[in-house]
Amino acid sequence: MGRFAFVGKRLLALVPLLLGIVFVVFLLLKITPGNPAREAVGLRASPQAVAQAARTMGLDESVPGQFLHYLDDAIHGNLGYSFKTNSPVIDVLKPQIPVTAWLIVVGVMLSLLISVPLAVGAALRPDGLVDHVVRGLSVFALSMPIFWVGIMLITVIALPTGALPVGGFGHGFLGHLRAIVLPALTTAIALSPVLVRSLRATVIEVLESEYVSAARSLGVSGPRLVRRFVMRNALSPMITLLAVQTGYFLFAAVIVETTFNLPGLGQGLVSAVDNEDFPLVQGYTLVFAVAIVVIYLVADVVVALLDPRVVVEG
Amino acid sequence: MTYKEHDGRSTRRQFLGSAGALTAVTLTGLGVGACGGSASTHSASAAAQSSATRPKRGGTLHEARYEAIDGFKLDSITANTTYQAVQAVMEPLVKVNPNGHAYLPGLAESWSVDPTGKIWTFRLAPNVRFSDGSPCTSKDVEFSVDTWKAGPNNGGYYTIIKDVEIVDSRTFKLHLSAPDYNITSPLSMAIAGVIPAHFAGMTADQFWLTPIGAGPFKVDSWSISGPINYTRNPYYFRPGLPYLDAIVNTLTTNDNQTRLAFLSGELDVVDGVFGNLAAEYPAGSILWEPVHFTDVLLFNTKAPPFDKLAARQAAAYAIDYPGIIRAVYKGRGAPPQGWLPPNVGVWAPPSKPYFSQNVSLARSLAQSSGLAGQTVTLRYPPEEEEFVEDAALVQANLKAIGVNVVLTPEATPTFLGNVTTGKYQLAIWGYNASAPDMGNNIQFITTTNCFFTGYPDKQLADLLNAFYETPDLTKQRALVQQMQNFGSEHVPFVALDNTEYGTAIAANTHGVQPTPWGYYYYDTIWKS
Repeated sequence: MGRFAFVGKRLLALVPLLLGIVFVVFLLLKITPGNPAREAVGLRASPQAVAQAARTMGLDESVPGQFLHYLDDAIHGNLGYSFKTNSPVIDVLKPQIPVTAWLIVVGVMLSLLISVPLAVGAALRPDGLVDHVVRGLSVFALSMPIFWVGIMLITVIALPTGALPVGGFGHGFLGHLRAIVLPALTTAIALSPVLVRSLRATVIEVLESEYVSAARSLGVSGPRLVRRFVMRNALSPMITLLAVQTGYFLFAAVIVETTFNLPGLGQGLVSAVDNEDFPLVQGYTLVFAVAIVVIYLVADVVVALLDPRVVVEG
Repeated sequence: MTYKEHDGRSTRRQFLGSAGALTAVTLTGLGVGACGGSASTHSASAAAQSSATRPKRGGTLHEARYEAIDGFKLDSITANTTYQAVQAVMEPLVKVNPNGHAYLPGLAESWSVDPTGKIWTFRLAPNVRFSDGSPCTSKDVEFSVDTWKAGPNNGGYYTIIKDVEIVDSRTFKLHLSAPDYNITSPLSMAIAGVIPAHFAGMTADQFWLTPIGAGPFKVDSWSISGPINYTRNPYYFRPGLPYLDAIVNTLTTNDNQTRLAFLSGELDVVDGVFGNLAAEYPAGSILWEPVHFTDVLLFNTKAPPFDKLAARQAAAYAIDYPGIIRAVYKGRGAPPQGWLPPNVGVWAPPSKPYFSQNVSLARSLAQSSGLAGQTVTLRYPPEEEEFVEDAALVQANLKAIGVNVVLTPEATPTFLGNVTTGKYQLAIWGYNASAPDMGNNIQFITTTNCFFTGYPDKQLADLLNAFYETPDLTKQRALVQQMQNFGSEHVPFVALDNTEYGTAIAANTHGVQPTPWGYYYYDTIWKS
């Protein structure tokens, strides 16, 4: 199957997947205790006013009816309106998406910058000093809670130096870049251990392969050997793992954004859940679901590009 | 803290001190200055701030709020932080003196009431304009009143206003359906912000997303969980004010992040620091208000075992009130002297001392009521660290009298859903005033089914009506005492503590003057 057809098929598969995810979240919200109409109208509103609000919000319809109503609107680009403020859900999400996107993209880039050199360095001399140090650091980083890492980076770097902000997202491109360094580094420290261990294992395996031995026998060595014969073969499993980890950390963005007070999707989701703002929660769910599927799709395409042996099958 | 605001009518300060019926009382503004309020209730750092050098124009205030706002729709306002956010944009007719006991001119420069207490005459200050440049007139006030009255949440405060009579563009009369000498109380709350007639040509929904008011600032952008960006209203009617060019108000739900941002200088003001967090801030940086915030233990009086008075009394006598102040608030508070929050309006204690721990009496009452040996659930929202600790202490105290308490933490929406529908036995919540008036607290109680306890409170409502209908301070105080007695005698809920509200203020920020319930106005704030 050609790559375009492969991408197209994956995008088509996105539709039932998204439907399923949104429906499950919809059901979960319906069975969650609480009364969003009461939340929207206020504590002092009379039961009649709460009932009227419920009717206006469509909460008096049957559950399947509410879901179909929501789907119909979503297909037409309308993700509904916040129960709390009546703002269009899309307008609430729009300014938050770039914040989380910055966090994830810069976090992934930093994690690659950290994990690739460490993994290769460890793999070149298995059981050597570097290997032991790298593996020890990986275990240490893996065991640290992500919010603690963030607080420590703030305390050790931002606070004493003033070079980077303690929190917030700043203004303008440079402001955003400054503000995202520590949160992205926090994400990278959390992502890297698993990547390091995976890449290390793969590099060791590749180094022991016949084609690498053949290359060595032909005089290829050092960085050239690693770059042209080892990395392209070793990276594919890591890319796949990176996609899975990135998907996981899309949700861990809640913790990082709270720690660094970033006004992104994670912080917004927490607020929406706290307010029982169902349309907003569903909107966030949709965005996260689409993001994860896109991330996996990108990862698959990158792997296919890296490794011509990967056959994209229909 | 997600203390929810509560409504009610405030007691009005009698500036002329007359004990009889008034012929006419004209309240002139005391003027808004950087040093208004009662400095004696503030800490040393606050006094230093108040007496700092001359106010300087310019700069951006970076402020942290501790909870998401409800939006700018006036009727939706519930959270304390929303009051704070909204009043910067949609200024009410009347403002509150930071001492928590009196009123100051808002958009209205003066007001008076006739001897019947049913006709209030207000005069708008000169040159009041909305942030779009249009003049604010009596017609806008008339529209605003209709909007307030129509709200399903807060409308009840304003239904006493029968109609608005426009005398001229700056003068109008509020005709009330019954005497009320405390109408300035609901008019001072952020929910009574004055808005342009007909929403300045927008639909209501559009207007609440992009609100226009006559306050010192206008909103450039906002979101519930994100930053609120304000810039100076160029048409603000008070010459020279506001001092600040802009305000950035951000939501910070992580106490560590808030503290670190304050230490790094990225935050100038942290709104809402309680005793349990105070030690993490630099010494002298917190401005403490007099004790006011009140945590409460609610009883479901409609279901066993707390449908019995003796059971409620048993629980009330079991609590170690000083212990809560020590353990939860690190000493920044005091045991309650009544079920109503103190340091607001015309406060009076109950006739007899309020509950204090008496374990032997508590045990005896627990036995006689059948409470001893029972297992009960205690619901509370765990997002509030103070409530978590309160719950643990209450559990331990009730265990000592033979009651087994099962702690049931619930997210706030779930908690409110259960408590407002009577699906609980015990619950922990909190409340505070939002206007300098004792009636403010009582009205919250009476409009929420006796603070969700289900206890019949007609007697309380009658006392409240009598309170509104008299201008006599002495009588008002006596009525407040009767309201306090109601709480002590019937115990639908018991106050656990009265705590101090703190505001962390950077050394370069001046003019922050919070009321005992933590609200402050932005027009007097400046940065050096």
